[in-house]
Amino acid sequence: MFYLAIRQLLARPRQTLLALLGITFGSAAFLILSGMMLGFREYLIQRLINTTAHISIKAEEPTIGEHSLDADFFPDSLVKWIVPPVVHNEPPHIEYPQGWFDRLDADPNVLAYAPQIITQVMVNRGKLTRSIILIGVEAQKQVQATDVQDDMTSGNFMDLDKGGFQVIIGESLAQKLGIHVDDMLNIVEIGGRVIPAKVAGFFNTGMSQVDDVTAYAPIHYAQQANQTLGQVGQIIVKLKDITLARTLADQWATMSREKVQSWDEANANFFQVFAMQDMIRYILSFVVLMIAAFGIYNILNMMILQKRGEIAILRSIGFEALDIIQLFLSQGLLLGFIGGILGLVLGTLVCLYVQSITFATGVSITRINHMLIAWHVKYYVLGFLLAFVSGLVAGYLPARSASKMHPIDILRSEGG
Amino acid sequence: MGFNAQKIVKSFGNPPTVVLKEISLDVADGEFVAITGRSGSGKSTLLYSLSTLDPLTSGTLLLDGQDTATLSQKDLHRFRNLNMGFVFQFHYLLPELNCEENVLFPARKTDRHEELRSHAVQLMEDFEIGHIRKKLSGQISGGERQRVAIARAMVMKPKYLLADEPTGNLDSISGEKVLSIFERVNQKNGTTVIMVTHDQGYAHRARRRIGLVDGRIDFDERT
Ligand SMILES: Nc1ncnc2c1ncn2[C@@H]1O[C@H](COP(=O)(O)OP(=O)(O)O)[C@@H](O)[C@H]1O
Ligand SMILES: [Mg+2]
Repeated sequence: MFYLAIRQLLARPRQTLLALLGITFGSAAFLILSGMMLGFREYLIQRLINTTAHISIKAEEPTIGEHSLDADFFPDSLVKWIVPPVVHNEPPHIEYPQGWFDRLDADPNVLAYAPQIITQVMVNRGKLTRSIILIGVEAQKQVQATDVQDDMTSGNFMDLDKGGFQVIIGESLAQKLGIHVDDMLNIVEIGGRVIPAKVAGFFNTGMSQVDDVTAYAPIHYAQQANQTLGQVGQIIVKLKDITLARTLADQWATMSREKVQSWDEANANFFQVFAMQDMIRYILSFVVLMIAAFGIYNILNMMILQKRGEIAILRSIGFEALDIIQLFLSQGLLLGFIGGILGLVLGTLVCLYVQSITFATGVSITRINHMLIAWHVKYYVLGFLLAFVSGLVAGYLPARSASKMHPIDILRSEGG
Repeated sequence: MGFNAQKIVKSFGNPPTVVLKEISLDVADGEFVAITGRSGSGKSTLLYSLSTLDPLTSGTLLLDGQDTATLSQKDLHRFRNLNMGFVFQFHYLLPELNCEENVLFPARKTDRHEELRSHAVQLMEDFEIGHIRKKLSGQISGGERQRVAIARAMVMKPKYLLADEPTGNLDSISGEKVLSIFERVNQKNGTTVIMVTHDQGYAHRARRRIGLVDGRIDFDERT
């Protein structure tokens, strides 16, 4: 029957080709969409993991509202403040950082951690002044807990630990201020005091929204600028196994007053976008394949109508209903199979081509200069399965209806 | 051996229209039988009932002494594949295959197409269609197509050849060729031939004629 199936497909080259093209495009589309979307996504996630700590431990913003203190001062009374109490103006900080350090040191899941204090300051050079975020770090710990060293484009991040007020700033910020390594710039503290700092190096994360406005400084200088000596604003943690981030973050959160967030929680909005992209990807591929499957279904249905007499003679000379199913089902499967393979080949070629396209750097918000493609066996298997299953369904339905035709009914209706 | 039908009834629909009315009939091995009658008299229905393609409403049919009611669908398929050849008014050749492949197609069911190839070629030579072996059915004449269809019916060397108006669509010369093939097959190979026809001329070429009127046997004569 397989023999006849192939002959019947070959006897209608145009129809067969058309059906094949439909399936091919369907599975190719899936592969290309998946490769491109997920290629960029993986890059993005990698960047997110690198730039966002696996887990960050942040001080909760003190929130004291108009009635937060009522019960303490006037129990059992309805209070109307003439001057309501407000939060006293201290930057948020972790209550007892040493406790965290001890806990993190003892935790076998923790690879490294780095305390930070983050503060907003002005930088000034000549006539140029900009508002930036100054991150106070201990260079040694920061390097262990993040990939910041890899982002350095000049200078060494460890120089921050050498003493003196040194800063490492984003390369794009440096360009905007017209600064070279070893130049001096002025940091304007909260109180208005101006301290000169030496620029020890540049970094480039590839994300301009970071590079334009960020500088690293030794932690005690930042604390000074912030007037929060000895305080820690947040601790970022690097884990041995990033997949544990969510679980550990949840665990730690229950044991502390601080806000403990894993990297994926911190970037939840990205994941919502990913979920939507996935939906679009599946719907698109599904629609293309539906159209292709419908094409196959139609071709086979037409064929069966034309071939009623032949089906009758096959049945009368001893071929069974199962043989008839086989005859038409195998045509659908063959189209699905070959279309699936061709689709994967086509998809691979297109992906290779797309990957080879380079575009000018600097324009984009990222450091990459070409399209990223995810190459995963999973998408090949899925793309092929999508094609194969649409061939299966598109073949099975007509095949079953053909097998149910009774030879005698056919012969009678044909005027026998 | 052969066909042994006892009071077979075939009715259709609800309320039932009875098409075959308690027909009893024996056809022995080696006979050449023509079933004649007006259009609508039940000729085709009788042929399909005898062939086991169409199940009976009631009555019994013995095939080679075996009660067909006791045979499974699979057994019946097998029996037809091995022992029965069918020829219809329309040739129903598979247009994707050439004539030789069409003739050999029944043998594919049991994977014997290589083994029977020389037999198929011989049959086609005998039926004067040897020269069109490699042609598609679209490229040959109606008479040739019907002879290819007969060769297909004969390729499994069946004991029984059942034909429903095999000359119905043919001109008289082609019809004549079909009839002479039937005679030859019947005489040379001893194949039992049951042929439905409403052509009296062709009917008289058979050695036994059964006339149907309104689902009953009107006459059953031999020459
Ligand atoms: N499936 C069916 N349903 C209802 N009536 C049928 C069916 N098949 C045949 N008949 C009726 O049975 C009668 C005999 O049909 P048939 O055997 O084809 O006659 P013939 O071959 O002698 O022309 C006709 O009246 C036809 O209408
Ligand atoms: Mg008839």
